[in-house]
Amino acid sequence: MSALVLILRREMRLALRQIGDSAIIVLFFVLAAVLFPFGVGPEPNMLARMAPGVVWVTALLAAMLSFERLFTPDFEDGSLEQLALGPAPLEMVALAKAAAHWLTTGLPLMIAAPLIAVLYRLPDSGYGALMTTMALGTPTISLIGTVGAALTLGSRRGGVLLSLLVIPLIVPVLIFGTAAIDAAIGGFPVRQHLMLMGGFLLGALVLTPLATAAALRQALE
Amino acid sequence: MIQQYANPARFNRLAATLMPWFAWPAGILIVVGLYFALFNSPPDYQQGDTVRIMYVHVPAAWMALFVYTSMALSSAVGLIWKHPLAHLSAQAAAPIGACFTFVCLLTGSLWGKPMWGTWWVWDARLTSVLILFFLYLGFMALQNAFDDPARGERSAAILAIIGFINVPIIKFSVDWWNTLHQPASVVKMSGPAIHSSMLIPLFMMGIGFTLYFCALLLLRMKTLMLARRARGMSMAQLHQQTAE
Amino acid sequence: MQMISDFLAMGGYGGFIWSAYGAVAVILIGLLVISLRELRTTSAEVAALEANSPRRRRNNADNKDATS
Repeated sequence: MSALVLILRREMRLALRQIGDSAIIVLFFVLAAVLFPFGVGPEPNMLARMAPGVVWVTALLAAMLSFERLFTPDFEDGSLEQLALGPAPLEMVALAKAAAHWLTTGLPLMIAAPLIAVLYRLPDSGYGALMTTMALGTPTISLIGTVGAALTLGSRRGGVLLSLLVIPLIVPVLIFGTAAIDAAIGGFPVRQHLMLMGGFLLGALVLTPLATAAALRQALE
Repeated sequence: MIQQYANPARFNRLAATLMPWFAWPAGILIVVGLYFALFNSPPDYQQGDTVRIMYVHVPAAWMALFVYTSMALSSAVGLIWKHPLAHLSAQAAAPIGACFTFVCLLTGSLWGKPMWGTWWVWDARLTSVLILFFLYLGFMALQNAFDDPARGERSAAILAIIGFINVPIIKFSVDWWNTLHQPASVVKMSGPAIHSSMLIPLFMMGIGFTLYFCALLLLRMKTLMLARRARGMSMAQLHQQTAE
Repeated sequence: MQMISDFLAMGGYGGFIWSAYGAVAVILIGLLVISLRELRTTSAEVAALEANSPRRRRNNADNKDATS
């Protein structure tokens, strides 16, 4: 456990040094969301109807941009190899990387989400569900994206390829994330959607570090 | 026991023995199945003649799943036992699976237009097959994305296994999300819900497609093996030339 | 003649049915043809490489592949 904290602390130190990267991701999130009204027109009812989907889809796309550089710097300067040879199991390293990614990207996206919801006039009853689904969904995205980043490590066309691999795998999060917000707005029970999202998060928490570690191992071979 | 087929010469002998047993029955079953499907099966009382599209659409859907399963299994074998042929078979299967998935989507679309009045609906089954198609494409893209082919095949193998765990999850989440497609009517606890005059050509096409896949898989594996050998030989010659 | 055109019309859905079957034929036969052509070009490539490589290598080629 202490290894996890140590790696996490290192990751956070590195990430905070490049805080601009997180800011750019959030900026992209807001900018992409702002584009929709220009495309479909500013009709308030339609925008309110679209709000949950737009927030979730744009958050997902913004997160995709952030995965490419997750392992590359460590891979290039050899510190990934050192981490692999170190006492901590590679699974732990993978988990710490995902946690750091969530803290530097998922959390800022989550904080920016209500802002976009306001611009889209999301009904008041939807905000609770929006924040809860974001809290459950963004860590899942971080975990699955970490696998994608490890799989494409050192490939040509890394970023686009990564999106091609990760987006199909994230569809369930998107479906239940927006369904929960829609249910909350419509006055239906939200619980089962949230339970499922929690289930995805737990499943990803257990399985993705294994997959990431396997992918890293064969990248270092 | 499988290990001995890792030798390319042995594999080629085995493939040469098996090939006619796959290729000929595949051709015959598909031709006879087509005859029944187009000439000798009744039109559906609701869907009329469009039901004939089922005889290619449903077997293609079966194959899309079957090929993905075989791909994930051989990927797992390749990663766990490091069997050299396993990755090769996954690599050879992927384009075939992608083609079957595409056939399934295309024929489904051509069936949907006259029956539902639209080429595409965001229905659960259609959407999960579409995602399966993207997984095939992602597998092939990842495989070719590395300068070192061995790295590409191992990375893609991990992806195939992740996809295999995720496909049921995607399936069930889109099931909840939206549904219009008719439920499966062939495999049911209470026995098939469709008449045997339709079931027989359907199974003929299904088995024919499976054998077609087996024959093509062997052929493509042989090609990949030769390509690997060509790569090795040209590298060796390059080494020799630079040494001289 | 009437029978043939009735058959081709497929109860008014001929366009859909025939294009579905046509697409299946094009894709499955196309994949087969492409695979066969790949096999042929790759075997030719290997044969060419074998022809200008020294004898020693030719004998070892099989074993070397098996271990790689």
